[in-house]
Amino acid sequence: MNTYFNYLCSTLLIIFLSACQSSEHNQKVYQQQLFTFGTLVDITILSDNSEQASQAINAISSEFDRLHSLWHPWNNGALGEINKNLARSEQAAITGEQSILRLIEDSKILSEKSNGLFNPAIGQLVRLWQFDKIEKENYQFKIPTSETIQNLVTQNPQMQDILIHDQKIRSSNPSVSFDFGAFAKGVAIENMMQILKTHHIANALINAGGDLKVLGTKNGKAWRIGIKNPVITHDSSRKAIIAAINLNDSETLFTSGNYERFFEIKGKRYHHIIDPRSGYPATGTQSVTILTQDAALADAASTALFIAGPDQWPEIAKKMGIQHVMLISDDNTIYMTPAMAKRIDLLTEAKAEIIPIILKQPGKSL
Amino acid sequence: MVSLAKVLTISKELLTPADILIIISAVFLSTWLYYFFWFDNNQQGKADTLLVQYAESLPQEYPLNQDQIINIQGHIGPSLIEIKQGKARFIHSSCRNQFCVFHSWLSVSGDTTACLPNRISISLKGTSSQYDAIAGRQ
Amino acid sequence: MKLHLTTTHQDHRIALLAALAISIHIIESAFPSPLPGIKPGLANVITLFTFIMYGWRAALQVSLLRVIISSLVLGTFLSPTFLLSLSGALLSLCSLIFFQFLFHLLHMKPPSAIGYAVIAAISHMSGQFFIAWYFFIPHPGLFKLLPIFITFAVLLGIVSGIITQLIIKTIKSDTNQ
Repeated sequence: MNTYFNYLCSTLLIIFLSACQSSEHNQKVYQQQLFTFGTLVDITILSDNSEQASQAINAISSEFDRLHSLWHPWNNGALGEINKNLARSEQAAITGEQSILRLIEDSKILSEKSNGLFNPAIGQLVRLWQFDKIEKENYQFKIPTSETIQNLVTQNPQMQDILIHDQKIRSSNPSVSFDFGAFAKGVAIENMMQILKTHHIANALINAGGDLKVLGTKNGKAWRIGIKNPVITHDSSRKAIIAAINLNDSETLFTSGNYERFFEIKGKRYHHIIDPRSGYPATGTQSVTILTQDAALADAASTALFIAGPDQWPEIAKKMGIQHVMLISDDNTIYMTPAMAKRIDLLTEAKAEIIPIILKQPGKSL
Repeated sequence: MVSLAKVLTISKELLTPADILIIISAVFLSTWLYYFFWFDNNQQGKADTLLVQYAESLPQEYPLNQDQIINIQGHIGPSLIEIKQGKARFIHSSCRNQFCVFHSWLSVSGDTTACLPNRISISLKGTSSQYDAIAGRQ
Repeated sequence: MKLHLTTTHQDHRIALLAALAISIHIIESAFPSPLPGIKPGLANVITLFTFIMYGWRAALQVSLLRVIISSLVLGTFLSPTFLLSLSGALLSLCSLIFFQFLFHLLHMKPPSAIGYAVIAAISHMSGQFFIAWYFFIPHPGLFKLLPIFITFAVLLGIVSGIITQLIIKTIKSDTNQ
């Protein structure tokens, strides 16, 4: 009799334990879509307080708008003014906004770590390729002449040419012009995370045009993210989602792809990721996806590794301290670090194969 | 024929309640593992509804099982959205670049694309969405 | 100089059991496996027997001796295969101790060799599997094989449990006579 009583007790204990997990309190999901920062931003907030959630969303929305005009390289915002002054070889005063100072200083460090592949000083090259006109109606794109490209490449604009002294920035190289297109979104997302925290939001996801960062969990579960196939196709047999990954608190996923901004001339595609070494759109890579905890670093690194290409990316990843990388090359080969291979679920068999590139991982050698 | 009663007596002699508990849990564990690693993870999320949203207004819903072409007025002009065989895409938009038109079919729940200049976004929704967000191309 | 080593009755018993376990282990290593290094762990019968009859300390000695000596004999010492058997052996022994303690806490009659064998087999298999995945084949696709391995572990666990139970019964009735 006694044994059966115990048997019953332990069964009840097991049922009780498993019930605990499922009856956990679920927070409400608030979602908002914004057209801002030159892209589509999706905000997902988990909260019990609708007032709190909508306040956070409003704060994020206005901060995105503010940063967008402030950091726009060619408009009349603060950064636009700095670029105009630099072009006239004048000392550019940093007007009011400390965020640009931080932007310049942080990207200077990252640019150096990336062996200059992430280079926000090549604003003139980006303009030469008319990526400032990409949103204009009926603009006739032209391929720049090789002389003009060569000329700018030889002038070699670098972040290291910039000197900051007493709130004033000076460039020792007249060809320097800032374009934080490969950095601003990452920094902005980090700012939004701070806003969420000041609004006491512990669980959220911000997806800015396919680049995202998560906070906390989705009602106790990791955020499940699908990664889109970079190959543009209207063939429905190809999988739309090539991989899935679970993101934990404060993790961010950034992707640089050759399909984001581009124009086509005579069937050839010219995309917006310019290789500062050649002056032409970088070749060899279709997309690079980075997983880390710092969105700003992820943004810069995804660009740097895209330019580095299938041969050089492991070296740059190591130098920038990135452990989780997936790179899809032009010939549809998927390259991954072992750390990424452990995290990601590949959903494709097709032409893709995993070629693990061994990165030195502390404490995981055998 | 070995009688069932005999088998039961033997097993009663051999097995304690703890044994039975362990064996039942083991069977449950392996069944759950099959489910978890073979069925749960491998499906691409099935979508049943298309959400079309202009700027920050409330999204309009369209069923995916009904083929149709939706004409919606955006910020700078009309956009045409096609629903066909449970998938959706932009077929024309009033913008120069037509990035949204380059974008392939949306077929997975949670997937989104937008015509930025026209401020129109389309996304798919399903009853059991597998992904909380889609990363990469939009 | 003559070195004198005193051995106890317990030492002899462990040596005997370890020798048996080593033989089974070596015979077992001749069988093919779909995942290199992963074995059903029939040598666990001996570990299990030792655990039930003489306690966890003796079982730990027997299983460490088995893993180390068989790997020396097979020439896999400190190789991946060695690591796999070591992790499997240690994890299964840890689970046995844990469950013995758990049933003790619940004031339940402890399981027979069959229940223990199922626990040992599942943890033996998962220990090996996890090490194989973590160090050698870090691909999530490997997990598709896990349910199959666990099913086999459960079946083999029941079989080896019955064998162990019969051995224990025979020995007990022998000593009683």
